[in-house]
Amino acid sequence: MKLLFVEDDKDLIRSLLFYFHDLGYICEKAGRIQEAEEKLFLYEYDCLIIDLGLPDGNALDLLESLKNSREDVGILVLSASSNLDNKVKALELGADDYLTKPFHLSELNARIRSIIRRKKQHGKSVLNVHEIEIDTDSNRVSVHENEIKLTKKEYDLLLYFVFNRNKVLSKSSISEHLWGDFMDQSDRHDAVYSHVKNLKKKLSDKGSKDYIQSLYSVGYIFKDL
Amino acid sequence: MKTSESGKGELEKRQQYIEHLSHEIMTPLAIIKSKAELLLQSPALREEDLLNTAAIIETVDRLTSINKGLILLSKIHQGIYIDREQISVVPLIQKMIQMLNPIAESKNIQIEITSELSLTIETNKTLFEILILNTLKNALIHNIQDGTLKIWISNDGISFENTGLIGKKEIKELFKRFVSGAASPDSIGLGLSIMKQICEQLDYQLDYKRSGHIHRLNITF
Repeated sequence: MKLLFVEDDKDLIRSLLFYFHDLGYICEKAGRIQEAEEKLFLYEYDCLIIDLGLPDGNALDLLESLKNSREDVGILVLSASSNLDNKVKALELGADDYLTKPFHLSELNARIRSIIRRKKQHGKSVLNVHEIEIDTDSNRVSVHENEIKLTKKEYDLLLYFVFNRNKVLSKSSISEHLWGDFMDQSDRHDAVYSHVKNLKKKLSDKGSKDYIQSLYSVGYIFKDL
Repeated sequence: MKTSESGKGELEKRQQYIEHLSHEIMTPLAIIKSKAELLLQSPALREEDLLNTAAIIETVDRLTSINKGLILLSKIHQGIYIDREQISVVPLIQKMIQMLNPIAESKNIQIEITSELSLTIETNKTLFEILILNTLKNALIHNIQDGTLKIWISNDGISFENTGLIGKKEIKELFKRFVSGAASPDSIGLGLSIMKQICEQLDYQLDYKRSGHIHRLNITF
């Protein structure tokens, strides 16, 4: 899968390239709209990640020009502003998703994965992770071909782990993914703990290995054993 | 008349400036957060290092929520939220309770709503939602294990009554300062300032009482 990051902040770009390269994506970057346009003319990408505030213009213009020419490419807009108008405009101009800064890299990855999944309707919708099978069309999960019943949140949680395999997920990242940022207090940690515990139990009851491990009180990791 | 108008323009400009600055802060915050998240992936970290790194992420989250609060306050001051529409109060509150369910569940808090079902009010939707969400959040977060939250909704206003800790001096202090108009600048204090500003903007009256371990907040329309 090939990504193009259009972002002018060098430090942020370095983080993005490092993390996503490590996850196995082919990554390229552009610091300006003009550079992005050149790359888009020459190459094909699965998903573009565009910062709204770029030095040589507004990224909304880039979306406008992409609107008709590239239907198959996924577009995620990053913005420092949670301004609803910008979000609505970006989505109207064809962006598939919108994420405000500061974000968790693992959250950005989960969003990119679901955009790419939605765009490639013809692609396979089944994820196989060892003995766990996840059908992302029907939201069904099975272990050793035995279906397990997960709640919506447990399903979201499992998918978040699988998308970010072998990455440490902080509790704050998990909580924000499941409930958004309104749960900004310490209470969210209890909620994360109980959801992870339930998910682990349901998986192991059907004979799955214990892939989800806790890391002190920091967070969790889905680790290939 | 002329001087007061230009004074108002100055104030609005200053508020816009604050909003602009607050947005500028989000990118450096994003950099810190991403670096800390990368650091978290390092296999060389000891337990202590991991905990410190997680603390950095949590602190960025706190800064972010304070910053969002500042942006909201400056928007309220700029008079952005003035349009009004009809809102059905009960479904709105039920929707928010649903959202906050993880907190209520983790403390096993019983929630009870007494209401006139078809009540609608004319208000600013954004501000009203933030006001109710903040109130519910406070009532749940500062609640006790197996506690209760009772909500009365009527034409005159909404009352929230919840169990809480008696000895929690800081909360009492916060509310005292909040009622007197000088809430502290941490995230809880900022949340209270926001509620107060919203009530001023919507012309609601806000008062808080505590007797024993029962806390009661009234919003009067």
